[in-house]
Amino acid sequence: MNKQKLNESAAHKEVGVEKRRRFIKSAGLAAPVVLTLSSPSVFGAAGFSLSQMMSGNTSNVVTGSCTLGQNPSYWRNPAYKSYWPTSFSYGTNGGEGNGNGNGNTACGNYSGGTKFKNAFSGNDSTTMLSYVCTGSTSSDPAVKLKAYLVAALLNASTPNSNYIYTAAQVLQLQAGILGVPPNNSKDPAVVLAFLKNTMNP
Amino acid sequence: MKLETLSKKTVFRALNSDGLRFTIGGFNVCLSSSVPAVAEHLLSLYGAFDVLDNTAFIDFYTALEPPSKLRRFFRPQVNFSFDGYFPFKPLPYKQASAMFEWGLNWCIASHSHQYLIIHASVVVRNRKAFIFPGVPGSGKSTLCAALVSRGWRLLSDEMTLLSVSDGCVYPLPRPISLKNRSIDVIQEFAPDAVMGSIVKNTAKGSIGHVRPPDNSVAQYNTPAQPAKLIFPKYDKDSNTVLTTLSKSRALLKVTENCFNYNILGVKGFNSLSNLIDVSDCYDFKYSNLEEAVALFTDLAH
Amino acid sequence: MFENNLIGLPIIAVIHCRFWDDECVIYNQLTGDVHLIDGMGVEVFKVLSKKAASRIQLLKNLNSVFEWEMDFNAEDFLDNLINEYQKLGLVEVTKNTCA
Repeated sequence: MNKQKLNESAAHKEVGVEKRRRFIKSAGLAAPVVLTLSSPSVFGAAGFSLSQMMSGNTSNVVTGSCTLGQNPSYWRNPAYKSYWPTSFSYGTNGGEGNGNGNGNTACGNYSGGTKFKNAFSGNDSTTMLSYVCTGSTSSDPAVKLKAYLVAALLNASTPNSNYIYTAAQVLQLQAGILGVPPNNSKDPAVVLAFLKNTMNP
Repeated sequence: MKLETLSKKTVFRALNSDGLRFTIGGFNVCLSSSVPAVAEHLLSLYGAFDVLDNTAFIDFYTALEPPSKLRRFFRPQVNFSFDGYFPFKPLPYKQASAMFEWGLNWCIASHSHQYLIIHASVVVRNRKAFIFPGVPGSGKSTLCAALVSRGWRLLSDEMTLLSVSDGCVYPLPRPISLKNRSIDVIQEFAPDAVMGSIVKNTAKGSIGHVRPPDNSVAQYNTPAQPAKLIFPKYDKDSNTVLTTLSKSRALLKVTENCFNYNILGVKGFNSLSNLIDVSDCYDFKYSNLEEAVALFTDLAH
Repeated sequence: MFENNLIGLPIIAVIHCRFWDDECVIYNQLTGDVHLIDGMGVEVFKVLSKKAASRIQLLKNLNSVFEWEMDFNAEDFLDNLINEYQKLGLVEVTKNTCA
C-alpha cells in the first residue's frame, strides 16, 4: 500500500511540473546561420580535386591547363600560413586557440597581417586574413566576395601556380575592370559564384 | 595465390608485359610498368594481396611509364595512366612508387560512388570502427600506423569507404603513407613495421609506406560498423586531449573532408548524417603516440 | 510582415534537416550548401520540418521553449530570421488561404 501511495504521489508530481524554458540571451541570437559550408565547385565535380591535393601534383584534368585554387578555408588555416606568397603577411599569433579544433578560432588569434587596401584598391583596412578567416561564411555578400577575392589573389600569387587568373587579373576583378564568363559580368554575386568554382571544395 | 609467392622475375615479367593483376580491397587492379622501383614496391608492401588470373574482371587498368624514351635518361620522369588517360603531370622517375599510390587514390576517389569517400584513416578494434578524418599534417596516418602496430585492424589509411547503401565502412587495407618526420617516429615506435623505400623530394617532402598487416589484408571483404569519428591534430607541445564535438559541427567538419560528397548530393548528406547518428564525435590533440594509443584502446572497450 | 502568411519548407522538398541536441544541420539540395543553425532557428525548423506554420504559431512555439531578456523583441527577431532563411532558400512564405 505504501508503495502504491508513493507511486501515485510521484505521478502527481510529474503531471504538475512544467518543462522548464531555456533562457536565451540576446547576445546569443546574432546569426540566423552559425556556419555555412558552400557547395563544392563544378570543376571539382569529378571528385578528384582533393586527390590532386593529396598527390601534391597539379594536373591537366580540367579542360585547358588551369588547376583549381584553394578556397578561403584553406588560406585561413594557421597550418598553411607558410604557404602564403611572400608578398603577403598572414599575421602574428597573440595567443593559443581554444583547443576545440576549430580553425576559425585559431586564425582569429592572429593580427597585423597584410591589409586588404595594401593588396587591392580602396581604403579597406581589414586584414586579408580577417576576410578568409570569417568572411566566407558571412551573410554580407560584399564581405563574402572579399574573402574569395583574397583567396583568388593568394592562389594567383603562389609561385608556379596554374590558377585560372593572374594576380593582375584578380586585382582587375576587384576593381570592377574585369568581368567573369560567360557574359563578362561584373555583378558581385556572379563574380562570387564564378570564383567559388575556380577553387577546390 | 598471394603476390609474395611469385618470384621477382615473374613479377617483373608480368609488369612489363600484359600487366600484373591483383586485388586491393574490393578493387581489381591491373598494373603495367617497366620501372624496377615499382616492382620492388609491390614485392615489399603488397605481398599479402591476392594475384588474379587473366580472366578476372579488372576495375582499373593502370600504367606507370616514362612519358617518352628520352625521359628515361634526361631528367627522367614517370607518368601514371588509367585506361590510357593521364590525370597527372609527370613526376621524377624516382617517385614512381609514390605515384602509383597517388594514382590509385585518384582511381578509387573518382570512380567509386557506391561509397561516400572520406579523406580519413579508419581502424577497427572490438568490431568498432574509429574514423580519423584530417587534412595533410593532422597526424592521422601516424596515428593509424601506431594503432595498427599495436594490433588494431587496418581498414584504410587514406580513404574511408562508407557504403551509401548499408552505412558500413568497407576495407581498403593498403600501405600506410607517412611523410617526413612521421617516418622516423613510426620507425622508432614500431621497429618491426615493414617499410618500403623512402621517396625523397616529393611535393610533400619524403614519403615512406608501411606494409599493411597480413591479417588486415586477409579481411578485405569484412566491413565494419562506424563507432567513433575523431578529428586528430598533432601538436608537439600538446597534452593528450580528447574533446567531445557536437554532432552538427562534426557533420560540417567531415563534409569538408569528403572526396565525392558533391557528386552524391542528398545521398551524400544522408550517408554522413547517418554516420554522425551512430558515432561519438571528438576533436583530438596529441603529441605522445603511446598515450594516444592507450586512450583509444580504452575507448574501444 | 508575415502576419497573414504561412511559413514552410519549400514545396519541392529540397530542404533536408537533421537535429542533434540544440543544433540542426540543413542541406539545401538545390545549392548543395549545408547550414549549421542553433538557438531559436532550430526550434523554427523543428516546427516547419513537420508542417507549415503561421507567424503566430511560430512565436507561440518559441515562447514555450525559450524565455528571454525583458527588452528583447521576439517578433522582430523572428521576422528577421525568416527573412534570412528565405534569402538562403530554406523557407518559403505563402499566403495563408485559411479562413
